[in-house]
Amino acid sequence: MMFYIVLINLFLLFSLSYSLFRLNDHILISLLSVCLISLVFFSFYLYQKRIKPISAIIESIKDFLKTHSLQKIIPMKGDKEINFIINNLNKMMLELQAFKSFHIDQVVDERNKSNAVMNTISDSVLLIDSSGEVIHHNLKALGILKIELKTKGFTISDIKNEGLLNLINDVINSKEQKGNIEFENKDDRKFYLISFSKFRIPSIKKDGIFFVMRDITVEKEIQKTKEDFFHMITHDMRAPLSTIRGYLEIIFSDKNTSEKYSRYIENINYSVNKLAGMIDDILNMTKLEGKRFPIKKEPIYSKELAERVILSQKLIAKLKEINLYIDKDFEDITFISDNTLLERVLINLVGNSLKFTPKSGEIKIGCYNDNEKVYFYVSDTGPGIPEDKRKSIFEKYVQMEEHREMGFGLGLAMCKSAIENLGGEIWVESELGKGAKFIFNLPKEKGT
Amino acid sequence: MKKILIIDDSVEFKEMICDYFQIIGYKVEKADNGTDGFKKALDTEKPDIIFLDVMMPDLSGIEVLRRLREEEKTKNIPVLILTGSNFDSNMDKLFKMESNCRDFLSKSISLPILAKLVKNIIGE
Repeated sequence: MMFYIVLINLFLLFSLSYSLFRLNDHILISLLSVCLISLVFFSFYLYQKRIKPISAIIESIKDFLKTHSLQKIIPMKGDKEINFIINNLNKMMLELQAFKSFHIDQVVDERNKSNAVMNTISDSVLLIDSSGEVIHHNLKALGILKIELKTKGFTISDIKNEGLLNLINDVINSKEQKGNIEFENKDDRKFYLISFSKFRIPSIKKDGIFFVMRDITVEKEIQKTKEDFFHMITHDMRAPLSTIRGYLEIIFSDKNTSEKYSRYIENINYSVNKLAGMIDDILNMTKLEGKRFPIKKEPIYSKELAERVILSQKLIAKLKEINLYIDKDFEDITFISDNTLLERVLINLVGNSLKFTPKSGEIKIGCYNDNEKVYFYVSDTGPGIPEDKRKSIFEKYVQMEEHREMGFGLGLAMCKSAIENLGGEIWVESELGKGAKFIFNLPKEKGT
Repeated sequence: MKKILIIDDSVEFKEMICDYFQIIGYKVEKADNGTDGFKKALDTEKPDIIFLDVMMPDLSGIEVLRRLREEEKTKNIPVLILTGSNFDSNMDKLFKMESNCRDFLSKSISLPILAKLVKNIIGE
């Protein structure tokens, strides 16, 4: 159509120029009129079929961008090309609208779900970014953080609980990626376990830190009751036990005791010491776990320590016909640590080996050092420890499952706690069927 | 002969300590509670060292320790805390702050070690 109109106009213009050249008035006027009429006609056509539909398209796109929904479809009132555009634009906007609403519904669903979860759990939840902007939180968190409920977003500077604010700032500034911190809240006198973990939030190109604050006041109280109970029992047990031990030592030192009785006394002595050691371990365990153990710093002479341990266990070794001895390349090192605690650790390790090493086996205690650390080991010729058990044996009461008859399984857990409190590590190396070697190290604070 | 004063409400433990240290050549005086112990430290022949329990029915060990320090006659007597208690680091610190408290020991300490300690502090 357009092509024809343009063709007619070109023809008219050509005729016009020709008649001008010939100066024929009549022809000129009639040609001009035809030219004008066709121009009017052309403009009208252009307006109806192109300009009007294009404005409709623009309006519709503007609407869509504003509301994200197609209010009404664009009418197909243009010419062929314009209608092609309109048709496809309508289709695209409809599809986009459907896609968007589907996704928004999904997001809203997820958000409602997570909000429901977050507001139902008894823990406080807080998500902030590394600049301190609060991204998400639950209602419970507002209470403990002392933030007023506002409609707009807030930052951590709105946190009125000073203790917690300091803690959060410390976490933001620390390099730790995740961790647990125990926190005593001055406001409600409750204890909280605050766990945090950091992660990258791609949409805002910042690091996020997620906090979960759990009220552990009741656990603390139970722990306290448990400790008080142990405290009471052991306090009452210690005096009579120490009395028995004391008199045994007096009898021991008496040269007149007969051969027969001295063997009985030796056994009583071993048993009393074992009982006293067990009481100490229970107590040490609760203390060590609470990090309230008064660790002594005294000079340790490694050989003397090992000799004491062997002396205390030699009765059982003899009865089981096990060769318990100090390894030949034992290095006698002086360093600073807690004597009593180390003795308990070694006694537990040797006691453990004595339990599992069969008759006429071998147990040896070794010691060596490098520039930074002192190493001790207790190696036996027992059945060994399978690879999947080498970590779990250091957990509390684990032994109960496997060797129920062998005791209450606190020994190795106590060793781990003690060594870690002394700043070292403990682990076990083993070859099944050939034996196990328990090794621990300690930082070497040189003796003065 | 050096003199030890033991202040403890546990009769059997006190008796045993008394027997042991008498055998190895010390003179031992016994007191059943804090008040009695404080009086004996002050009134009788001055002890060279005091073994002190922590939990006692009348005066606590720390209270006895404070009173001993306030008196001119007793303030320089070395004191060893011997307790059946499950002492923690706070208690340890509290006692060590007192000037004449030499050590904080568990009642389960072996006697020869205790004897060695006493010998190091006051001699035989």
